[in-house]
Amino acid sequence: MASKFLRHLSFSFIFKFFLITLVFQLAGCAITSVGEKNDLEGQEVSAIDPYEGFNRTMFKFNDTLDSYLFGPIVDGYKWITPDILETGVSNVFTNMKGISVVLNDIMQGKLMQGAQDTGRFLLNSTVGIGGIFDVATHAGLEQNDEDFAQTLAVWGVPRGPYLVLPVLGPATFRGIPGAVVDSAANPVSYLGWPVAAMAALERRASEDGSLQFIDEAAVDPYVFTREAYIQHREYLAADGELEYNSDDLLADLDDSGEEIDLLSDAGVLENQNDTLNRERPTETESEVQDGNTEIQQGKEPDDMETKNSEIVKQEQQEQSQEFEKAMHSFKKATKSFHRADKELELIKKGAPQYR
Amino acid sequence: MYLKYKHFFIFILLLLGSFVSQAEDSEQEVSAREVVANFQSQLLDTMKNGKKLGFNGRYMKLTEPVVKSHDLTKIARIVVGREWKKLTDEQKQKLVDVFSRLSIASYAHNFKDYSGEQFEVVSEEETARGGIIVHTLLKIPGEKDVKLDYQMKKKGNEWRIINIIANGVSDLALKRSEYTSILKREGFDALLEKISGKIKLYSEN
Repeated sequence: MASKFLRHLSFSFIFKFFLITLVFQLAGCAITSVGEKNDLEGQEVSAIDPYEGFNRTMFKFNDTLDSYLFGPIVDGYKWITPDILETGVSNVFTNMKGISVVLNDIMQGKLMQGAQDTGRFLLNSTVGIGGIFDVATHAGLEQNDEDFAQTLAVWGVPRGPYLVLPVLGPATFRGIPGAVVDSAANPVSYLGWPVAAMAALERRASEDGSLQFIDEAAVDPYVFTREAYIQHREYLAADGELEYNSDDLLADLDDSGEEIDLLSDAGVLENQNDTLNRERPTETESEVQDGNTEIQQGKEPDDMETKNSEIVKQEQQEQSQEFEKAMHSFKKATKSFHRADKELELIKKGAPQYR
Repeated sequence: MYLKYKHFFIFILLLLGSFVSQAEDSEQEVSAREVVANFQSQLLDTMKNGKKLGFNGRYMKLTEPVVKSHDLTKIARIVVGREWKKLTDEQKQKLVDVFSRLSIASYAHNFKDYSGEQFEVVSEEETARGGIIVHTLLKIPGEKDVKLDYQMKKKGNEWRIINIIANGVSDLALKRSEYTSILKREGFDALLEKISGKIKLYSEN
């Protein structure tokens, strides 16, 4: 009894501690905003990841630990357990998370979704025998992914710097109080260490596919993990309704007057037929007008650059002329439309000249 | 009477004219949505014959669809960010070449077999800089749908894919962070070596 009380006390203490730290973080303005996320160069990188040195060390540590300890354990677990049992175990732990999902639904003001998730939890706990079978999904109650870190995001708490925690892996400052609250709302935390260990094993097993994908696809696994983690967390917090800022990626792109034929010589494409080779990058893109011209004209006045800016100017002139022409005919059309409208009014009123 | 209505008739004629010319445009042009749908159907086709084709077969089969639907030159530029300007022409050429092979190889590797997957184009949306985002779903039996959003840009008068956003994770932003980080830390040759390593890895399993 006393120990239970103490545990609760320590949870609330840790929670408060982190809230206080967060307030300090806010006051110190050491926090990045969402907008900076997409520009990933120079200082901006350090804004997301000011502790990159520490984080890279931790990443390496976790990676080594995973390949020599957790990885083999998970492989063993997956090898001896039949798929059906594996799914059952996974379902049980997912179901236990259901309580925290409902709480977070409510805290985010998603009452309808909260009701659905309550129904889901009750259905799976009873008909699904303690969550072993995910009957709710078949009944049309899809699993929602909510946690306290997302709630904090909804409440406007900034993400804070990226952090790689020992053993636990990728996190952000916002995610730490998030994880504390979520584990307080998860029965797994109160069922003793064997259950917690099993939960950890199951979590690692469910991430096996992603880890393998990172292994295959990443040229810099540390950066890949960081970006994918942060982006996916933002996506979840926004419930998939993310505003696309990806156009920002094109901001410093300027492809006017690029004359190198980049694709035609590509070794791989040589054996393809002529239709491919006909497609050469002769781009005169609209980005050029979007404020990139200054950058272009300001730098190194070598031949290429001046040529580029001349082409740009010419294009701009042509386009503004076109635009003026279009505006002119539009004005004309509007005028005549108004006139026609007036006449129509007169006809309706039965003006004398139309009788 | 006729004279009084002249302007109105001209206006109507102008309106009609603009509709006609619009119709002509859309006849020539393949819409962004169609570009994505065509590419996805080619992918499905490759997946269905995936095992029979093997990696090389899938690579050959996908080369044309990938090159024709993606703007690989532009993607290669964006993923190295501001470093692009610091590259020599020869390096730019090499980068685009290796990057194109990587893109095709990763499709050939990741879409190797078929177990009932389906693509569905959901909607499209215009972006601020004159681009289009085509929202699609990858439906995998027994799993949650994967949201695949294709960011499209015009190249000449053709719509091309320049980015794929899978469940909120932008491939372009991801690659750009990785590549610029490597360029800064280890340099151009190291980057090319790493990309080539990936292509080799993809072809092996």
